[in-house]
Amino acid sequence: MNEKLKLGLCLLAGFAAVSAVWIPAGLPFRPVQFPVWYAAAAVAVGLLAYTFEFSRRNLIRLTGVAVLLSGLLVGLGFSNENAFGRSNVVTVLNRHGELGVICVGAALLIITGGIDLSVGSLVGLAAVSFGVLMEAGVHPLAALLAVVLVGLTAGVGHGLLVTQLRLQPFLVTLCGMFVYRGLARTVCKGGTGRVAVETAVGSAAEKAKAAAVVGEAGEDARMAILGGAEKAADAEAVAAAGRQAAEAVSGSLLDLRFWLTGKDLTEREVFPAQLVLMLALAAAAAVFLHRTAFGRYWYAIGFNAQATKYAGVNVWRHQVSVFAVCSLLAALGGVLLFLYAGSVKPTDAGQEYELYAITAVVLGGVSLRGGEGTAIGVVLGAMVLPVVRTLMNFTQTPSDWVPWMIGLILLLGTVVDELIRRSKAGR
Amino acid sequence: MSAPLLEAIGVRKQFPGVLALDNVSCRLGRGEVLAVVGENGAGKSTLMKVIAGVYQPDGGEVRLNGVPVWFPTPLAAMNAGVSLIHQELNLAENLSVLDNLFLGREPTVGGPLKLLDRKSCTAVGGRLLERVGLPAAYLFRTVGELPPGQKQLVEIARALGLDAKLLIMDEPTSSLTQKETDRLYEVIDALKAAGVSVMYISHRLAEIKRCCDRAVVLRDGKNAGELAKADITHDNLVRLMVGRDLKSFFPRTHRADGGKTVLSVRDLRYAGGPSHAVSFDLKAGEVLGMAGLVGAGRTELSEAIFGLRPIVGGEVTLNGQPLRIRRPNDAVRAGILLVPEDRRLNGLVLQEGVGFNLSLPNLSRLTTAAVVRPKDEAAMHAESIRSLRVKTPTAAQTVGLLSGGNQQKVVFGKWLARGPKVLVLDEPTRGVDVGAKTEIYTLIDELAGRGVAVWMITSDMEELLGVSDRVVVMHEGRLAGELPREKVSEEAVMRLATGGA
Repeated sequence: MNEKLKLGLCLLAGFAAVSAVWIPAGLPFRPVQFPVWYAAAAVAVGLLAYTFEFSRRNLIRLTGVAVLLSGLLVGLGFSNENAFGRSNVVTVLNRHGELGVICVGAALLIITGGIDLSVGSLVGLAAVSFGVLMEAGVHPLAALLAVVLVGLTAGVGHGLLVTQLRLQPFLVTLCGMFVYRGLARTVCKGGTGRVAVETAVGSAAEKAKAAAVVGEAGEDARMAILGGAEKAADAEAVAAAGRQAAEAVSGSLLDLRFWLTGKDLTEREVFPAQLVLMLALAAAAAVFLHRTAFGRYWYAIGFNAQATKYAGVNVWRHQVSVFAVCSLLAALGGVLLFLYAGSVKPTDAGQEYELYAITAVVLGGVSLRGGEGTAIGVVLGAMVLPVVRTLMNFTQTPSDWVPWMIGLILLLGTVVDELIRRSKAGR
Repeated sequence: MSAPLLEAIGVRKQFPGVLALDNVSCRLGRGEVLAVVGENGAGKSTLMKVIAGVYQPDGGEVRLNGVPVWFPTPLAAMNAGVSLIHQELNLAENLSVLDNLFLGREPTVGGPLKLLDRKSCTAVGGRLLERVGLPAAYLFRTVGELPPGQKQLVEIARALGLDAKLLIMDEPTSSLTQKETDRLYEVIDALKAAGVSVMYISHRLAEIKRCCDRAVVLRDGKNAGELAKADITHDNLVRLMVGRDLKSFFPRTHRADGGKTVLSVRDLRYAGGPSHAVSFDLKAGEVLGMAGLVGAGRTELSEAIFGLRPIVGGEVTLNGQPLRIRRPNDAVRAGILLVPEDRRLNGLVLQEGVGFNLSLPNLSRLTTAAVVRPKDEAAMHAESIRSLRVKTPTAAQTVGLLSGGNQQKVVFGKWLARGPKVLVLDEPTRGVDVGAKTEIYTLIDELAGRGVAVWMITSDMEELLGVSDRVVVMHEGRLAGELPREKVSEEAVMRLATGGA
């Protein structure tokens, strides 16, 4: 009864929190799909709150990032009068979501005591592969599935190398980092090529046009040789089918882009779809981490894999699964990157994302030593970097300042965090 | 009368959740060898570390030659002539003996160039090795290649190089062969003659009688008494160490007779084990004590049966059913549960709470579709904490902050909730205070009374004699012999453990 009441209150709080962003920012409620996304976000936030254990230890972990974020948001508010206007809110939240999807996977892995340096390269490989498949006219959903499966396979590979050959995760994924970056360039046929949504849509349109040409040719043939009527009809049918398929592909690609990133046909960001996706994934991670036996095992493995093994847990299976989830979400992040950015280059797509992800989750209270961290913390940690970027943008910070400013702000965040933790834990 | 070399007066040391040293005093003259005796967890090692500057006392003081000293680091203590020879030796294994002898204080030539003065190194190093009875040619051997006994001698030589006036040795013979041990005794005699004092922690009575002038006994972090050389006898030591009558210390209510065989091990061979196969039986409701010297292979055998070491031959049957054990999970499912020797490394997730640890192996019974049922879990925690009398404020308390005894109760609690068929205890009371020891012995007795087959590996002779219904002794990986309760004696066990017939 008590638990149910708590769940109810948390869900209400989730709706309140999401409404507080959705309504003032003027995000749409029509057509019917939008309320579904809105509700999904609200339920996800509610679950994140419900599964969060209000212990001193957990609150201490969140203090640092909460203080940092509040400061940044206040700064953002002063930097530009449109800072909390609709378009900016959607952009910031979308970027937050994109990084967050990757962070959820990285956090689970780091909690179990692992690390993945190949995330950025895998994002790049996934983005480029998805783009190449699009340009080849593969159906977007099939391509999405294929790319995510590649990510999963890579992750299982990392996990097996780490658990069965007892290699260090750092080393295995460092090698992965080179391999996937190289594969991205190979897939794209040459180092400097790029793949783009417009090209993919364009090539589908080309095909439709080509099909039409075949049809016309058939028409001509019929006119020329009456006896070839049957063949000509065939040609026409083929052309029609080709046109239809090509239109379907280009149409569903744009649909997919809309539902995953919130960008409509005119490239305008209508709603923060990536954020909703990330919240849903984070909520799932929260339930796993804080409510299920799996979460218990993951925390236990992160602190002391040895003792967990002695407790009769099949430690290696859990480790492999978590590596797999991390890489799978990196691949998904790659698809999002391609759709959101519109075009990616194999040389730098997703570059340094692993470092952003690690920094974000550490800011969010996940310890690199393993065994510590909360799902809410990861969500908050992933928000820091996009907000910092936007703030730099608004204050017209010279672009060459951006990297070191980011570095210093993140350093500040970790230092504040460490100091808070020390002063409170010391007692 | 001049001041003694070392005086510790009212030393106090507090660790989270446990007062390790409570008003402990001792004194040591020049050229004297002092034994520090006590049960595990009595505070011997802590006292040594306080004197050697590894820990700083929270109260009381340490005086050297009558002058109060404060060592912020082990280096400060070493410079003042106090060197600690660790249980885990602190040598750089990849470097030569010579390099180790002078590590951090290499004699240099060439002024600011700081070139190594190899000539004087070799000369001084040779003399140091001579004092511990090693030939000078050893200077150029890599430390990692030396057997444990010689590493120990190298470490002593290094301390002598620092002009040590006091050497502190923490169970120096625990990993040495008899021959190496004899050599160490000779070195200690020579040091003594040269006016160097030695503090010596040991559990071995014969050893204490052989080389110590006096014994200080600690119990639960307090001084329990002191014995002059002539008074060092087994009874006197145990009386001071345990501080009570032994009878009530080892309760026995269960009757170990006629239980059917639960675990049967036939011709077992395992990876990293000896070439001999091992066979033994374990009956319901009995406590089988397993004795042997350190390194006899007892822990390895238990690891094989718990699935931590690949079994390469032979058969394990549980209640007549053959059992295939490839990983701990298989053993746990079958009801063979291990309380490991290294509780902090293998038994517990120290950074997590008492409840978290109690739940860990029991989650399959506390979850619905993998989601934990909070009420059932809380009830299980409350029941375990109550029945085992774990002293903890709440189930959320971090387990690493509990005392050794309470930590061990949590390890027991993890398994008891599963209903063990075979409970394997590897050094169950190591690092456990005396009060909690009795509770653990009571618990073992109760479990045997309920028909659990208990297999207890122990190096603690009192425990072996007091708790076991039957004793098997291992020597170099094979079972050297079996003794029924009536015939168990320290002498009989030691004869088998050292390979005597």
